[in-house]
Amino acid sequence: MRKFNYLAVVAVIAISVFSCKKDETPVISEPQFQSGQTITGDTLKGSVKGTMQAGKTYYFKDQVTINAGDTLIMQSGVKLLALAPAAQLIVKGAFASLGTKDNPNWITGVDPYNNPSAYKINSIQDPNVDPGLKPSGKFWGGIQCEKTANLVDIKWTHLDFAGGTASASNPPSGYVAGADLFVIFFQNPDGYLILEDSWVYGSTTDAVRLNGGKIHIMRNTVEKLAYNDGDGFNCKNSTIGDIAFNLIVGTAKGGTKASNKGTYGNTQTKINMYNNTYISGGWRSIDPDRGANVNYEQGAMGNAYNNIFVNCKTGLRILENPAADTINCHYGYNLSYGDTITVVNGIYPPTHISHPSDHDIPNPASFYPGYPNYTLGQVYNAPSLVGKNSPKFKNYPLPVSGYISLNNYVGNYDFHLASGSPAIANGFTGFSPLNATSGVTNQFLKATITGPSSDLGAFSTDGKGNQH
Amino acid sequence: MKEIRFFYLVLSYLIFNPLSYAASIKGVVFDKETNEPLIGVVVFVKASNLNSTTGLDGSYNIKNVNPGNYILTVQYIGYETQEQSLTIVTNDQKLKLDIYLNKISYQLGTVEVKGELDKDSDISARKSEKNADNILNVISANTIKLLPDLTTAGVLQRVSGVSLERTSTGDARYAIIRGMDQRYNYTLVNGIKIPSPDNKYRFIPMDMFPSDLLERLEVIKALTPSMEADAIGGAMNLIMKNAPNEFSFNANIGTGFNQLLSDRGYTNFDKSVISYKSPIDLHGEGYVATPNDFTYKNFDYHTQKLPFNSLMSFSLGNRFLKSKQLGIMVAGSYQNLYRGSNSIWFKPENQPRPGNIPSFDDIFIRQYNTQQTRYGIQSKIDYNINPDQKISLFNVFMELDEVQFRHTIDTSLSIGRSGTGTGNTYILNRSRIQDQSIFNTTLQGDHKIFNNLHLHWSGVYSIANSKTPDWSEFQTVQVVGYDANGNHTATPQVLNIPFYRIWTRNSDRDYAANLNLDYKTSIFKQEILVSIGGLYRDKFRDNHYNEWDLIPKTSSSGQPIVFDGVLSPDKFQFNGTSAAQGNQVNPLTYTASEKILAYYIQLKLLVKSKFEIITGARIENTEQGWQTVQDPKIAYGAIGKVPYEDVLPSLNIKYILSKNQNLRFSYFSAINRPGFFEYIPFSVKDDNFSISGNPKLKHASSNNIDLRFEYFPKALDQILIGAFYKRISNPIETAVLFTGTSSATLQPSNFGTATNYGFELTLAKFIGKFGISANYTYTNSSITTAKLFYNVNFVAEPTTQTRPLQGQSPHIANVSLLYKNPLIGLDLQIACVYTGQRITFVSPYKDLDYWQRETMQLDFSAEKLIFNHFTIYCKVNNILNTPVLVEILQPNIYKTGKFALTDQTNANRITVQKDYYGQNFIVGIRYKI
Repeated sequence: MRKFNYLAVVAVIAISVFSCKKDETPVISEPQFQSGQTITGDTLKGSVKGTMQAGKTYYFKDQVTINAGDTLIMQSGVKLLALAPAAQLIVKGAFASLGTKDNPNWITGVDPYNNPSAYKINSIQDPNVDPGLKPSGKFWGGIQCEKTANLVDIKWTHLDFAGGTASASNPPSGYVAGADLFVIFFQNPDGYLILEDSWVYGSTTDAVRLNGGKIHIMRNTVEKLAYNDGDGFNCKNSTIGDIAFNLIVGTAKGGTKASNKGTYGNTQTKINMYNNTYISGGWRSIDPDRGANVNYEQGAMGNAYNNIFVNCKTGLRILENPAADTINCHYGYNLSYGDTITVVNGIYPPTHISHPSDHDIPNPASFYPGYPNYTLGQVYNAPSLVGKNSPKFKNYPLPVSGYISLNNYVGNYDFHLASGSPAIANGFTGFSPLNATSGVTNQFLKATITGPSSDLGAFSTDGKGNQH
Repeated sequence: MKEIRFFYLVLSYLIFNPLSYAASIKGVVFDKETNEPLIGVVVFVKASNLNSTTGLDGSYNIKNVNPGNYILTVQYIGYETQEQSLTIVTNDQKLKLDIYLNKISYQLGTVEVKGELDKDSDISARKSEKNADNILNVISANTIKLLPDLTTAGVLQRVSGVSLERTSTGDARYAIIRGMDQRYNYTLVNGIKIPSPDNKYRFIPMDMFPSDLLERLEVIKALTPSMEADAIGGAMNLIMKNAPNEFSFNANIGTGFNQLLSDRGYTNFDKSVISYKSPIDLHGEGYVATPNDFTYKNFDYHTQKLPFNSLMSFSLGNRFLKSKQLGIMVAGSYQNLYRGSNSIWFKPENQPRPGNIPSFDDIFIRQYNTQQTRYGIQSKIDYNINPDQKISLFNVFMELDEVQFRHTIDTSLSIGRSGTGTGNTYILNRSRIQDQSIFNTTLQGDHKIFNNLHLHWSGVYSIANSKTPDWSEFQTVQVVGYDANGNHTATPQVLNIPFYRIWTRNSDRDYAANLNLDYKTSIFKQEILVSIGGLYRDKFRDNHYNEWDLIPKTSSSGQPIVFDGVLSPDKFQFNGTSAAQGNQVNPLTYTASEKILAYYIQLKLLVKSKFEIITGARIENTEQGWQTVQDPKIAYGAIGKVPYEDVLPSLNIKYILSKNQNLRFSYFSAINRPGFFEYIPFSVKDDNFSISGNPKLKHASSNNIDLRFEYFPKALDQILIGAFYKRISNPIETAVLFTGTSSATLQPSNFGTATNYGFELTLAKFIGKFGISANYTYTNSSITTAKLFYNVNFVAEPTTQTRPLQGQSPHIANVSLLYKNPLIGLDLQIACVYTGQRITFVSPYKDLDYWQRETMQLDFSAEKLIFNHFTIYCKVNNILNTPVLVEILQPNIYKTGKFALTDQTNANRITVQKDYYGQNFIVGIRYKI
């Protein structure tokens, strides 16, 4: 028995110290918090809040942060000019740029502001030297929002020559150093993004990337977006809202894109894309079969009516794999025009599941073999459509001269509809805007919704569309 | 299949040996002292040509003996020759005669050189298992020599309860012990823990070690207080060759080829064009690179029809000085191997279809071409000052260099797809070299202070390095489709984005000191050994990561430039200044440290010669810390420090049932420390998830119970039956987490409690010239982690899932058949490894994990003594050309339809990957004195 006594003693010793441990007490460095300073001089630096006075010019040359809980307002006629490409707005709280039609705001580089004709090229230009497109030479690093940003509200504001690559020493949240910067990056599914009556000129990649958010993007004019990889407005999972009455010219890839890709929140991406005018989209894309105008991908839904597509590399795109929420993607009443056989043969791209609609212009019955029967993947040939069904813009000679891909600017053209345009009074108004930013009720901040027009494109003849 | 037929022939010949009818003499030859059977003893009848050699069980059998008087002579190296008279009376007499040989012992000066068993031998391995303080499995050099494996990783898969994770070219690399993946195990060289060259985890690529440097391989499955505690799964101890008692020299040279490469050729680039220095290394931080700063020659590929592998190794050892106080052993190994694989991979879309149905993006058809060069050199010098004072110095250096070309044809199922044979087609060429090395030097001392007080100490310096300079891949894209007339069309190839150039390097440096005191005494007339000791280790990691992403230029007409097949700097540019600076400030450039102070007390007592008890506790104080190059004023967690302490008790009881039977019980607690990489607070936004480190990660700890019955009936025979149970708290798994209100993040986290239990069975039986050795392990583990379910409303809901641990197979089995004929010097072995189905990748989505189908691998080896000291050998690996098949266990909707995938055979499993590696053949010659 004695040996069992030993055993017992040993067992008691062992069990008495059974799994005793002192847990981790980690010491992890926290970034320094700098409280937001009310703006006093004409230079913004560090953390800021308050109001930038109407009509005044301000400068920045580095990252300027709006802390969570703080608000920075740009009153009308304010110029915020970058002195160095590292100039960047980091929004953790709220930012509003409240320009007006008469007194728009500007955020751009100091040089292009002072000498616009040297930078805004209103003619055919090699993208490798075009200041709006060439990879190097962006003047500021965009508006980069963190997940805490609850409101970005931009009205009547020029956002020119923004982009470049993320700072090495302090890449904004969601980027790795050296990554391409968006002009606006918003990533709060519960936050609001209002972008209306504004302009974006030039970008490195997507002009606006939305990893979630309640959005309203209306009546803007954007041109020369992305060198060879990027869309105009690119919405990912948990983004809801309307993208309407925008004039979108010369995007590398698609103009407006919605996808439910990602896990940013718990809502399906739902984007209306209506009454937009897309010009020369998709030509700079390296990838040969990407979108060029309206694009619904993986699990996204929405209404896409009353759009005009001129010389876009491919037609309206509904992705089959991974499939868009095809049951809830509604579209039609869109006008397509092409100067070349490639463009017109891609009005209904055989590589996607976009279906023709009876109310499209041109009428699919006029060229699609066997219509109304439609075979997915069937290639058609419709040379008779080349140069036909012009939307008859007030000043945009068609066919374009030179490469379509280089007709990537607005310049002095006028995309209003001339009388006799087939785009007039052929639209569909039987749906409502999503009005996702209705939670913003302040009279100065709230969005101005324009419902669908019976005229196609961004410039409806009733004057309620794009105001530019 | 030709090889297989040959083996059957050999086997059947061996089995159906002709029978004989004259009288016979048989019996077993034993060591008189230990009663252990002796193998390879020559037994002959004097003045005749009748003879026999003892087999694996020590038995001999001399047939066709006519009646008469004889003298039987028995000879064996190290033993006194014995002669015995005997008489055969009748023709059908079967005389049984066991013989006991006396060992020759000799005194050399004051140093007694014991007639030790050859440490390389299998008997010695069995003895180690039997006499060990804790639960372990041992494989001897003799077994290793005959195994078809060239690396330690290959050998490990023969050990009970061990399965291996393979590289892209099919080489076993990381060991999973009893279903616990590599992170839960550590590697020792001669009992000293060594650092890993891996930049993410602390486990060691076990294929860095050529198997021919080993004297013995131990897999330790239960810890004692004197052992480091971070082995929840187990520890692998690589015992390198020791200085022998007399001059010994071994050399080995071999060559061979890989069947897959002989079928399709071998294509690779010239390693010498790679610059080990990045633009930052050359020009300093802040340097704005241009496309001219990079070579494009790393994409010049050359094809060889059939590259031959080469293997070389040697070991040289002796003892010197008057009383042979000084022992020196030097061994080296060189392997240059060409490996390849052909792979099909259906890349699942990261996000499934609504309803959590798997969805696929792309078909990747890949060819890997890899050149692996291994260098290993080790030396051991020991000096016996006097019988009570010994010091030794051990050095080991291992290097594994890989040059790899990966060619991929990627057909998109998503973009440009209008039906079979259409879609965006990408051609990708990746050129990558990786150099990994480990150096360790250990100075050890063994001192008898008083009669019953012993001191052991060691001082250790180790450094592990890894370099991956200019890891790069370029790609082109074109869309393939049809025109209106149904003719195939393809757009011209253009260069695609990204075109990355990545330089990484890291080193882990260890300083360690061990001190142990053993005090022998007795209480209550029972002998007791009290050990106390401590360890201090200072570990330092230096990690660098720089990446440059080039983009192709657009033509002056604003469209992609058609690729003319020649890569040159004028075709590329950077999107911005910081992109051209190579991410100089990123959290993956960091230093990290780990300081461990551990001490223990251990009691070993033998109670009534029946119970051998080892118990005690170990305390480990850990402080891990890191500092990234980021500005701590700006970046969260740029500096961090994590201290913690563990008290780890253990109890090992060996109940000696009889001379050759033991019953063991063991309880121990162990921990698992996070790797440095897992703490680093990097955060990268991927398409679907943010991927980030976790500075708040906790270390895992476990309680482990083991039971084992051991029976060693004869020399090499054994039966081991064991069971184990492990309960792991805070196991670390990389899984998807919703942080706050939005955004799912993939990060290493702690997940409650995991359990793992199972049983093991090992059998070895030798009859005459034949032997069979087999083991089987059943494992059942369970862990619950966070997952997502992408519902029919297009929303990813957080949920959880319980599953086995990654890499755990429910069933693992090894069987090998041996034939050993010492008379003609022929050894044959067929070895088979069965590894059951296991998870190889944990999906962030529920029920969409990737499972590797069960595999059966068959290998063969043979060796034959041709004349004095020379042996020829051959090894054939992967005889069945076993593919690796990876599947998602979901209803297979991809057998038909527009998005149908090839190689889909099962209605309930979707094939996602199928890799073939081909057979490997090696022949060589070995010289031994």
